[in-house]
Amino acid sequence: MKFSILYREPEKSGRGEVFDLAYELSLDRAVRKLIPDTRRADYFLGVLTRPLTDVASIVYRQQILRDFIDFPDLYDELRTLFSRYDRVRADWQGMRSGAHPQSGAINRRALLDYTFASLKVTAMFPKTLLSFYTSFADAIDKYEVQSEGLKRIAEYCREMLENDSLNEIERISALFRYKTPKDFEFSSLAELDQAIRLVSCDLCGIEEIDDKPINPLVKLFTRKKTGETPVFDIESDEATVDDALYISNESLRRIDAALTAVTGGIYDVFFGLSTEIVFYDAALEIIRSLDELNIDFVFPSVFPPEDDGFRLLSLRDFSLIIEGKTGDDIIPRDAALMKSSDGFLIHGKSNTGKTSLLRGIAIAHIFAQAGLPVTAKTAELSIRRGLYAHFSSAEEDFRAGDTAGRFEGEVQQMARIIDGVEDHPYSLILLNETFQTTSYSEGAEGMWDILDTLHLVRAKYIFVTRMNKMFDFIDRDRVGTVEMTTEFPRFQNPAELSGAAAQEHPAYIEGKTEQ
Amino acid sequence: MPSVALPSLLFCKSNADCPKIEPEVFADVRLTSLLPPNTLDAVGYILSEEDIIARREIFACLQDTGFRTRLSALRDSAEEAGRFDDLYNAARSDSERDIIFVSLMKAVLEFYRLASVLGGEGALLSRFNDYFSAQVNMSWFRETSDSIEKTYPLVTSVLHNRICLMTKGENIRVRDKGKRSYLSIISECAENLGLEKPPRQPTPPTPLSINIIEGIVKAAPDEFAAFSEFRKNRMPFYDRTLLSYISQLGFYLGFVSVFDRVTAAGIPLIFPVISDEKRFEIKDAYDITLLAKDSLKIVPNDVSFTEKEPFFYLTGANGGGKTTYLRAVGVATLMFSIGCPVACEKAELSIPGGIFTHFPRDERFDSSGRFYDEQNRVDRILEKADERSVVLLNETYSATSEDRAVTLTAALGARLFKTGVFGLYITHQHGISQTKVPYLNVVVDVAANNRRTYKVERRRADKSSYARDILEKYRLTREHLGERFGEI
Repeated sequence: MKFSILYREPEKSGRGEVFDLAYELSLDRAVRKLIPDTRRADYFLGVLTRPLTDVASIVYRQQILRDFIDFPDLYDELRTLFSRYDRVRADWQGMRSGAHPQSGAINRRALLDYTFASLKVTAMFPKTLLSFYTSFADAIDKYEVQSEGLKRIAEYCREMLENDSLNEIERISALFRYKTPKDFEFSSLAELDQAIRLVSCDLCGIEEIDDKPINPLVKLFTRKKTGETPVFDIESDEATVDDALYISNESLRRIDAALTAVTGGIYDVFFGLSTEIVFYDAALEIIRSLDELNIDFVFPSVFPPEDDGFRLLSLRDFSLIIEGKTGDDIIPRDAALMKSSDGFLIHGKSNTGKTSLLRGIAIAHIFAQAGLPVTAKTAELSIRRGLYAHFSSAEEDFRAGDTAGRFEGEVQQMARIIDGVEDHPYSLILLNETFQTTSYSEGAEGMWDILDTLHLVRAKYIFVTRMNKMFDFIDRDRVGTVEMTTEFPRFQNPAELSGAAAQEHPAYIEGKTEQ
Repeated sequence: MPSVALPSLLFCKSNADCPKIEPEVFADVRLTSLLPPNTLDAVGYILSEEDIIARREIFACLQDTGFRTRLSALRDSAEEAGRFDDLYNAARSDSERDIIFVSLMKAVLEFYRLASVLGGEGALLSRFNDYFSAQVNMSWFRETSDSIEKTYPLVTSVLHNRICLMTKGENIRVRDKGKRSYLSIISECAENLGLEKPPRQPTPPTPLSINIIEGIVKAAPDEFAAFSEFRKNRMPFYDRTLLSYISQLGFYLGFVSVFDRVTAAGIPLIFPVISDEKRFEIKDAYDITLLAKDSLKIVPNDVSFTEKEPFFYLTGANGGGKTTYLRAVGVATLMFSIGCPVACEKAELSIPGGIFTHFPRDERFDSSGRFYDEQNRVDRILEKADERSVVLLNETYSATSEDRAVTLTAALGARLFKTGVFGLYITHQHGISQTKVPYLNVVVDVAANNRRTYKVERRRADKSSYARDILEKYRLTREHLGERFGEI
């Protein structure tokens, strides 16, 4: 059993593949601009680049984020509690190492004292854990949370507080919290081998020694408890003394080990939440910034991969935040891709926003599959098991090596993408002017050969290109085209849609842009 | 009551008249490197023809998987009895002896049961099967078995989580029965919480003081009285010589595991023809000890000793396979003599009267020096070897000056040749002249840069031992060392 506020089923959650996207989309720069703390930004990006691939997990995260948005005090309280909780283990280990006897030869008596001291430390922690359960449940119960995740935490904590087994462990632990070994008589059940050698001894009783002299009359009239067997004193000699100390030590050591293992198992259920909450920390920071920048955002509707399409209305390119743009500066676009389409090509003159549209679509998918809101007014997306992008750049030379050349470098990148989509059906590939590093006709032919086969692995694509020959190759019943017609100044005319996308989806808004 | 003499699985009759093979012979030919420990404990004798045949019959039965499984189980059972016997002998009090004896006899009876259904054919196995089949039907066996059925459960009840030891500082008390252990409660709680059960921490078996043992006896008086009664009544039926089966069974199972490796390497295994006349002929003998080094390919060689040429010097290039050839002859002789199959294509051998080896040893701090050690050993060999013996010498007299070595080698070789022993003498002493002792030589391919072929031929060696090739490879010639150290 393990709780996570990021993953609905931590052991089972599948993760999609995201291929160098944070860098290609300048998403990392945009995130770091809004979240200056490197540790938080890195963690946030790490979660983003492991997208969720089932609807329930995405909704799980969305709900928790909404609760944190709606109840900021709850967020603060849980953040503090999770942080304290995660420190408990380190404190515990520090206290156990402090119980170790000082250097020098350890005799049996000293070893017994050490073992008991270590056990005392272990015995404290069930109580500590129970107090945390109380705190978690109380914190969450103060608010009308809607998320499955937080409700489950509270419910679990309440159940555990009433749990007989946990309370039994606490009761047993309480026996060892105070005093020293010489204050007790320990009873141990002996497991012997066929030569009557001791192979294990397990504690079955611990009784505080009462050194007051017993009134003989009291003793005479005290009834022996029913079922008790007689007790035989053992004559003491050096060997027997040694054995007595050994048996006590072994029994206590074994129970210490058992309590440590079990307590550790109980503790691990909530361990790590202080790290996971960093994601929400960053998410809330981004949401605050979007608000301040007047950029619309919406929690998307997410569908299974087999629905294989998306619809984004008034989508804004999140990465333009790097340039200091606000919602008023960034032109919202509409984009859609139907199940029956293999993909679409985007073309148009320079500075018409082609790359921005591509980026916006990619980032929308990444955010959606991270459980985050999308910078749009309407967002409906099916889950992509893989998200791949290639943005042609001068760094190809560097990546490909001296002898390979830019084109070979791009081909190498494409080969990696193809490997990825083969293993991840219902992937989305976003390509920005790929294969324009060779003759356009050859590049177009080569690219078309690739794109035309992607449907065989159920991958779709969006391709920004200047290779006009592509448009001669495509089957317009299967491939949409988008012409970005804005000329400089570029904030003027909307994108126009053509082809299958517009025909198949009557609800598709054609050429509409927010003014 | 069991018979005094348990039937041997190694000898049809007594081994009193069998010539002994010194343990160092097995070590010299490196047979010990292939075998599990203790395999050779019972086999240091050259067998009679009857015993050779009898052991072969058991090896033949071991081709059957079912028989091998039963024999393994029987060996395990004997070893179990052996462990309890050790514990019994180490016990410090009668109470300990009483309780251990119950487990010991349980293991002994199990051995008898398994032995009675072992099966297999041949002189030794028939005798063995008949004996134990009869024993398990005797009254002493039935009565002992019934008694164990009643008494052994008491052993388990006393030993497992029943005795409660109550420790208060340095004092201890004992009672029969305690409450449920906290560990068991915690384990149950862990399971209920969906957690893994905490691992049980091992404790090494620790003997308890005699006083505590006596306390345990007081806490379980009825049980210990039963154990004492059992030991008193059943001790006469414990035949300790049963434990000799550990080494007897170990011999067969140890060698069978070697045979598996040999056949897996594609090497033939055959039972040589036993010759009534003095004879030593082997076609394609393999040094199977090379399997211990995971050698990929073992080159076989023929071996032939006759009345006219019974003994040879063996010379030739370093690393050419002389010692390997010597070991092949030694291993074949030993395996044949103790009733095992031999790794070769074909063989006809007479049973030797003695097997003697001399291989180089490290200097021992307590010896009087290597040469004197060699001389002593040679003297012992000369004392015992006769015309029926096999003698294998590996660079004897290499621990003295060259002149002396040549003289001694020539004298020793001549004497052994005259005696008529079958054997080989590896030597690098090229100065031996005027000798009747014939030579064998390892063959190098001169045309291929003196590549070693590992084949042995009947001819005298060149004067050189090709040591220089090896020195060149490792840059240890005068020229390399001079260049390196700036001398030239």
